[in-house]
Amino acid sequence: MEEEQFAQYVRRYSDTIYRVAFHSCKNAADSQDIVQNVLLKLYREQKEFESEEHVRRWVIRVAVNESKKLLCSAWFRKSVPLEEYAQTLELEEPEESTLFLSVMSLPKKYRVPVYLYYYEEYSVREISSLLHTKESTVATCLERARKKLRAALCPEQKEQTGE
Amino acid sequence: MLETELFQKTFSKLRASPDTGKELDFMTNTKRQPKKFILRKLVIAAAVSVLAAATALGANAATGGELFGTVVTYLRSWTENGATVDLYETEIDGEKVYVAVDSGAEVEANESGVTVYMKDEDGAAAYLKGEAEVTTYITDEGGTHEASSQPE
Repeated sequence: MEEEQFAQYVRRYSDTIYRVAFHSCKNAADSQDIVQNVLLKLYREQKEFESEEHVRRWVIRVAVNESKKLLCSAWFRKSVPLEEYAQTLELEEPEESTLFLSVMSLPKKYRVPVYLYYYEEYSVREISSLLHTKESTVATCLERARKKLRAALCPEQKEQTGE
Repeated sequence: MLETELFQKTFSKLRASPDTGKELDFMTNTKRQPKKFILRKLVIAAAVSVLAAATALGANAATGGELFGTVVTYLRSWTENGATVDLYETEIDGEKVYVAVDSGAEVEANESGVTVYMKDEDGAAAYLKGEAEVTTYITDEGGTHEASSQPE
């Protein structure tokens, strides 16, 4: 791959890969390792990509796979508590901090679909393709995640509806 | 209803290290530094999957380290940027240490650290996990002498 092209990809996709990885492993150091791993794989990738969107989907898919591999390996690090890490993000509003911690407290199988849906704005169909899972599974994960997040973000509403 | 805008505003703050580009530049451009020994804690794509596989594979016979009482175990090799890299595992002060070296280099270990014997000055080694004092020697027609540069 051309150096300049690769440098562009690094600038364009590092944060995306980091976010996908972080939603999976909730650990800054491991997420950074995954960023490097994915970008190195991209550098070595022989095939021609059809479009920018093709590259984006490729890096997301590989990031998901690399995250799964890491979680299966014995290569774990001590992680900084999430509350502590959240403070380094300079979240301006209290609701941002609440949302961040609430999303991170979701079960792992919900976090990546939630990220892909709300941040990357992929459809359920596209997410199911990226994660190699059924559309109904993605839809269920999103619905359950929304309920949990609603309860965390609007506890007064939960009280009023008596849930 | 979860607001997309709030979600995007919040998670846009989650960013990769600003040094990502520099570290990748090193990994993709630096196969060997002439007359310079580079020792860094690298996390390379191949190494992560290699280690995951190595724990399942088990070890081969120890090489060399038994002379100093510390077992050094060859795990496996892979090819990267046209060069073959050998991966060794040892244990120092109860901690596992993994060292990747140019294929053909010899690795020994004792309680004070790891010693790598390279074939030429352009050789490279990196430890992937664990902390250890690493000393490198070059063995060429002039004999065996310590590598000319200090590890980074």
